[in-house]
Amino acid sequence: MSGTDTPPGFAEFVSSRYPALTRYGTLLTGDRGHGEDLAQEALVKTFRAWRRLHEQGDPEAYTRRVMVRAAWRAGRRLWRREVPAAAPPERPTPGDAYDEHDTAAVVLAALRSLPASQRVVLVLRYWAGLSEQEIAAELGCSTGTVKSRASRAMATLRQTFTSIEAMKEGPRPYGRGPRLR
Amino acid sequence: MTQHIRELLDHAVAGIEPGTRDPVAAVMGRRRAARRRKAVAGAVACVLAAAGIAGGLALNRHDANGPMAPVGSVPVEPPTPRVVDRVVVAGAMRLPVPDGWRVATPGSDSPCGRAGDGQVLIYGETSDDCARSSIRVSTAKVLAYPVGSLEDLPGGSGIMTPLPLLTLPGGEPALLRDAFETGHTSMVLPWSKVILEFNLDGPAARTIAGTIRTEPVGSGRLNLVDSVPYAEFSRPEASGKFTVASHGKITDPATIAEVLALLRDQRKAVSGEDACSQPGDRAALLLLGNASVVYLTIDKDCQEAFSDRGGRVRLSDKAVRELTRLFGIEVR
Repeated sequence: MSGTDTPPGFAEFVSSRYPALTRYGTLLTGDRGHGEDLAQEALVKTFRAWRRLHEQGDPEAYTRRVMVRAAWRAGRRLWRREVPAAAPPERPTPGDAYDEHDTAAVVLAALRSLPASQRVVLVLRYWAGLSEQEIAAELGCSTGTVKSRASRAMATLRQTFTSIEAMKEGPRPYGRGPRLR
Repeated sequence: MTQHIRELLDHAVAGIEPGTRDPVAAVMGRRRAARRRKAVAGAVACVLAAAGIAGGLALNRHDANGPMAPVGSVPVEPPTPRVVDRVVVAGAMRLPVPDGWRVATPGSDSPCGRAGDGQVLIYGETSDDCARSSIRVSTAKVLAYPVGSLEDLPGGSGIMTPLPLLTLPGGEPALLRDAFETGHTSMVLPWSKVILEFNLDGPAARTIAGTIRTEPVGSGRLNLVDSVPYAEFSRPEASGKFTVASHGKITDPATIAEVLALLRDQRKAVSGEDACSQPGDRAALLLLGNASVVYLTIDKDCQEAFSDRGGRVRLSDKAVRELTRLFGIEVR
C-alpha cells in the first residue's frame, strides 16, 4: 500500500506516528494486539476528519482522544476483550513471577488485571499526567468516578510496583534475582 | 510514586513494536471494511423498513413502539453442576477447568477435601495449599445465597446494600463478594443459581473468572412477583454512600403495586451483548419481601435493572427518580 488513495499528509502521519500510537494503545488495553487494533480503529476516524485536522487541527491529539474514549467504552463490556491467561495461575508466591518475566511483562500483566475503566484512568492520570478534572472532561464522567477508578487501580497495582521497586534496589537474599532491563 | 509509575509504564511499552508492517494499508483496509458493513447495514435497514411498513399495514399492532419483549425467565430449581470435557457446567454457566488443574466431584476425595453433594471442586496442580488454589462450584435455591452486604449504620441499624455486579460474557449477571480484593472471592449467578468460591489471590481469581462463559438465557422484561407484603429500596446518596436517609421501606399495598407496575413498565429489554453493569458502578438494591430481588445499576454511563427471576431492562432517569420517590427517599 503506497497510500496513493489517501489525502495529502495522511500516509506520512500514520507512518510516522503509528509505533507511538500502538504503544499508547498497549497501555490503554494492556495488550499489544488490542492496542494496535485500537490505534487502527482510531486512525480510521482520523482519516474521516483528516481534511479539517490536517489544515487546522492536531491529528495526533485527536487520534489519542478517540483511542481513550474507545478504550473507556470498551470497559462497559467487562472482560469481553480481555486477554486469556497464557498459563494457568499458580499459587501466588511473590517474587517467583519475576524469575520468568521481565519487568515490562509484569507491568503489562498488572495492567491487564485491571478493569478497563481503571486502566484508562490510570494511564491518563499517571502516564499522560492529566488532572482529575481534565480526565473527567475527557471521559464525560464525574471527578468522583475518576478518583475512585484511580484509587482502585492504584490499590491493585501498588503491590506490583512496590515489588518491582524493591527488586531494583537490590538482590533478594534467596533465590535468583529478577531480570530487569 | 507518580514518576515511578510513569517510568514503569514507559518501560513496559518501550520495546513494543507494531505487528503491522504497512499501517497505512491496514488503516485503509479497515476503512473499506467499515464502509462495506455500513452499506450492507443500510441495505438491510431499507429491507426491514419496507417489511415494517408492509407489516404495519397488515397488522393492527397494539404497541406503536414495536412488539414488546417477552418477560425474562430462568429455571426455578437450581442445576446440578457437572463436568463435561473439562468444562464445569452449571445452569447457563461454563467454567473451563484450567490446564493442569484437577477435578473432584461428589464422592471423590481430593487433597483439597471432598466435593459435597451438588458440588464440583477444582484445584490447582500444586495443591499443597488448597486455601489458595481451589474453586468450589455449588448451587443454591432462590435467595439462599448472598443478595447484598449488610451495612452497619450509626445507631445500630443496618441496611442491605448491593454487592458489586458484573456482566459475564454471554450476558448473565454475577454478584461479587470481596471482588478479587482478597484471597477469597465469592461469585453468585442468580439466574443460574450457582455460587463460585474462588480460594485464590485476586488477580488469579479474576483471570479464571474471565474464562467463564454463560448461555444467553434470562433476557427480557423484568420477571417480578405478583405481590409482596413489603419492599425495601437502598440507593446511594450523591456522595456514593448508603445512609438511613437513602433507604426506604414500604408496606402499603397500593404503593408496592405502583413500584411493581413501574418496573413492569420498563420495556427496553437489554440483551446479554448490550448489558453494561460492571463492578464500581453506582448500584441500588430492591428487596421485594423475601421472595425476590431486583438489582439496579444507576451509574451515569449505565442504567439497567435485572430481576433474580429473570429479565433485564434499561432504566430511564425518570424511572429511577420515580422509584426513589415512591420509597420516600430524598437523594442528597
